[in-house]
Amino acid sequence: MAEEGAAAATAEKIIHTYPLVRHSDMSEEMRTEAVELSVTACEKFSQNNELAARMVKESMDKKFGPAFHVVIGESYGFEITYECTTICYIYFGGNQAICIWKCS
Amino acid sequence: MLVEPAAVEEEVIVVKPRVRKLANQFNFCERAALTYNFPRRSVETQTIPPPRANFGSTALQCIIFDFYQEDYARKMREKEEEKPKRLRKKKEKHPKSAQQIHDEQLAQRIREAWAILERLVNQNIYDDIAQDYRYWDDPSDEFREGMGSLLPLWRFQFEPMRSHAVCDMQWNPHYQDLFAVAYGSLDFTKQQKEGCVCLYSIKNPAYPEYAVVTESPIICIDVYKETPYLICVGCYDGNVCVYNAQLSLESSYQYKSDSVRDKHSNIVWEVRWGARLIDGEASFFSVSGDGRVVQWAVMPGELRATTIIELRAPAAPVPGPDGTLITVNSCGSSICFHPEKADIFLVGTEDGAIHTCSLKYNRSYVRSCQAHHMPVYRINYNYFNNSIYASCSGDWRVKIWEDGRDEPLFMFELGSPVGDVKWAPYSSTVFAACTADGKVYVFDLNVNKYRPICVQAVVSKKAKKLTRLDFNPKLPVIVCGDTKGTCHVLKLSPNLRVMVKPPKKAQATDQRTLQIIKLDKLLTLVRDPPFTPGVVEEKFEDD
Repeated sequence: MAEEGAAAATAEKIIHTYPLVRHSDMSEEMRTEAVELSVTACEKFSQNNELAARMVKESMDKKFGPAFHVVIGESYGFEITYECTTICYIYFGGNQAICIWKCS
Repeated sequence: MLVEPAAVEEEVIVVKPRVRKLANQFNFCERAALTYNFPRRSVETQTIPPPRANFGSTALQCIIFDFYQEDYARKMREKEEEKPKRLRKKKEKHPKSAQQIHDEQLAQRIREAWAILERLVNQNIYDDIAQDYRYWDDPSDEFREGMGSLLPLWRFQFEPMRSHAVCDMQWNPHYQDLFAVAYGSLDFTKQQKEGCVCLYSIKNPAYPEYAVVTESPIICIDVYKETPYLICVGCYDGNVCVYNAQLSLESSYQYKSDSVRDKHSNIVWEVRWGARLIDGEASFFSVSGDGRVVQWAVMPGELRATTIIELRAPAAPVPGPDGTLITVNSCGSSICFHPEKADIFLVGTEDGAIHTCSLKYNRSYVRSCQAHHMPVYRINYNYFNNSIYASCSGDWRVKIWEDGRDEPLFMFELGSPVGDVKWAPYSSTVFAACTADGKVYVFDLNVNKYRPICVQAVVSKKAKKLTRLDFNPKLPVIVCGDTKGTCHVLKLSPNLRVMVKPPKKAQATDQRTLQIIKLDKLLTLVRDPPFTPGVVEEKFEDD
């Protein structure tokens, strides 16, 4: 958490960079893995959400079996069907929403 | 083999000679068999598809921002709550209504009135003793050159602790009339179940001012000089506690060592308050039979232990099972801090050694010498000369030592295990010792280097033993405790507390300097020439 230069006037202007799990029913182990993966991916491809999503998906497929779906974006809506215990909806970097789920 | 069907039917029994027919292309037939065909059937099963659920949401910058804000606020709140959690719990434990508070205040005022009444009654009852204490000086002292006596004054007893022994006692450094007593038991075959910490005032010999019964017998006690209401105690079960005499009795101890994590595994033989730590926390030290010297930092709400040194026995490591070597710990029995150098301390052990240790080294001793043959019960530094200390032991001896010297300067045999030895705070050459046969010995090395100037039987030899004694820092009285839970306050007769007269040339010299000069003069007799036992004997006789 770092404060912006003119943060003195408005204390609200704090940029959060940490990942924040909004909704998840994954197991503890899987969730940490997913969060870590998305953090690395978003940091690696900070300009290209598509590549980041691909990286997350492929890594998740490798680790937890195929048919994962990943959406990364700053503003979108979704209504999905997922296999139970495989969804993870994360906010990251203060402006990105990452949704990971599995459905074959 | 083919047989004609007709022949088979008619002559079943007749066995024809087998005729081998030649196999050729005309006489050839094919053999084949048809097996039964099982009817086909399809069986199938379907697993329940993994459960699915629907989830929908909208990711918008505003939603993300709001959620981050919420989470951040929660985190900050948690951080704040983390610290005072324990304190808040305590507060919640005793929620008091206004009525209760009022009742308590009323009770407190009544209690105060009663306390005054009690003092009045006591003053009347013990008037003669109080008069003796104030004015009576043994007149026979004038005629007995260099001999003194002790006048028994009050006797303190706490009824529930009749069968307990006074294991330790100490005058309060701030209030002259107050002393703290630790009740425990020194009979290890019939160990008591509980102990007691009492504070007695000589203004009220009937009942202690403060008494709290503890779960385990108390073996040692020390009153904190800076805040004289804090008392640290060492228990028979290896725990150390800090009691706050200002708190109500229900709260009992204020701090206690963790019974699981860091208590001693043997009796705590002596506790001593030490200097404040760098962060300003008070700390005290304990020495125990498990061979550890532990420093306890009094943190808010808990005691934090640090092992300062583990006392190793001089014996070689004992081979354990599967080839490991186990070093034998020797049992610490007493500890004494250097009055000026806060990191130097002496540890007496049950095998009679006195180790000079430093807080800076946790593996080796600064010095070590085999001082006694039995457990060292007490080491006490002289109040005037920081390099002189006295030690007493179960081998009947009291020895006076100088730092850095392997042989004692003086040695006295008292004919019974010596429970305690203390230097007098008013004179550099006076010290007192109490023995298991119920006698108090007072020595003044300036008057007599070989014999005590006072031997007085305080308790009867058969029933009781004297355990500990302590000089009052200001008043001319000592207190000594016995194994039946009684504390005896004795007044020192004038011959036992002679002050040095300033020489005519320098009348203005203060008493302290004179005392130091007196001791130094005495020590030069012993020190020079270099100490060897034989030489000293002669030297003494020359005097």
